[in-house]
Amino acid sequence: MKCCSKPKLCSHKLSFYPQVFLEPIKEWSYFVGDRVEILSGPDKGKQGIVSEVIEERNWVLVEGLNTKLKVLGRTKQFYGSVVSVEQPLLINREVALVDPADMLSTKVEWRYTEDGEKVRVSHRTGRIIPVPNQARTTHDYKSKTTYKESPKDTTDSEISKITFSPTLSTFEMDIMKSEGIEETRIPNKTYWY
Amino acid sequence: MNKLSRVLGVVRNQLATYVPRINATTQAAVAPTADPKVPAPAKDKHEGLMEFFDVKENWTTNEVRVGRSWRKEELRIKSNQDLHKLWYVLLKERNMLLTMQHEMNEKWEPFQSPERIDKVHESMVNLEEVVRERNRAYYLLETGETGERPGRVETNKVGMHYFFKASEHVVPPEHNNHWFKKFGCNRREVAKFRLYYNEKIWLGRLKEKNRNTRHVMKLYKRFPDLDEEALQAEYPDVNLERVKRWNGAQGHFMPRNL
Repeated sequence: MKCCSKPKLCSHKLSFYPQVFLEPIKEWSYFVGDRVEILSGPDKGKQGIVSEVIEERNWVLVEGLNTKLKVLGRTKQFYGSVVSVEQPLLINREVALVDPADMLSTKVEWRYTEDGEKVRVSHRTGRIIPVPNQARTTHDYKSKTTYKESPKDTTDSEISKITFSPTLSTFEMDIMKSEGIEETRIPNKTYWY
Repeated sequence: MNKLSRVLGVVRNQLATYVPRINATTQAAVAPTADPKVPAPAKDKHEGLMEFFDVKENWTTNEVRVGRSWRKEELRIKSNQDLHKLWYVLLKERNMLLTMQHEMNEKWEPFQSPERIDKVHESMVNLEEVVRERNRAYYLLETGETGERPGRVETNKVGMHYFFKASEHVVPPEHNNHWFKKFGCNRREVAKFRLYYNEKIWLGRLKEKNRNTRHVMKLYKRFPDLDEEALQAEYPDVNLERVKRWNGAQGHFMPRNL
């Protein structure tokens, strides 16, 4: 049971909030939809697709691999149903990306192409490992091309129009000029302090 | 939702009384002269006070899908007049969203897609920043100053420093004796407080450094081959060479070169 919401306030019960040791990582290179090979545990050597990424704990869940059986809904009358739950795997240590050239696990490095695009490159073969489209999905769309415009959206052609032409005036002066407002009064001197 | 529509219906009926009625003959005369270039007003749009509410189709949906907010680079290529118009479009949208949110809360209904408020807010912040950029450029060119509200670091009565934003006055500062009383402090009176306050800050920093050092030690124990560059970037105060030699940093495993 929690004695309070903040662990700082109850140092005698800190054991409820175990310290988490995260290996510092320079750049994240595991995304949803990536093919990875498992390096340890009962499913060592098997390959699977990343289904979930938990960056806060350096964790990755692989679809249908590294699972644990769990009994759900057990009562006195009913034995319950058994489901297999995927267990988290530490990146770089328990899991490695698969090179699409030879389908073997490799270390990866982030490099820039000649066009200035940032890509993942396999250490062994030097082949680019593309980031899967699945990782680019957002709440609004699955992919940018399949986005459906809503009536209040501004279209792309309207956004890319350049209507700005630089003039020697402030925003307010420009608006007053276009609205036909003329100010002839001279303000009194004021002091800013 | 029925309650909501009923309440809104009442409002609409009240509004209808204020609208002057047009008889059949004038309507017939107006219709053929309508300019084809001018788009006909959309029927799903509200008018008058009902503009504070969303269109009726969105009252019962679970979600209202809209695009993202305006970015700065998109606003920079727009003229001042366009930005002026866009500001009022955003302002009306924000008023509508806040009204809908309030109304939904009153009726104990979930407000659909509340992230729309954040999107509009972000657009408005970006737009204001772009306008200020343009004004700053003008004032720097013409007067050599930014033209923004001036400010400086000041000391308050307790001896703490804070950022003071200046305000506009009619009287010059040398004649405004009353105003000057709000700054400065008696150093002797606040000395004890400042001493304890500084000590508290200093001890906090020291504890944080020690805590980080111990944490790095335990990291070495768990991950003996970790990336030291990344580690140093995350804990810049910690001396890694020193921590590595500690007993607590050695793991329970056989050394590789035995």
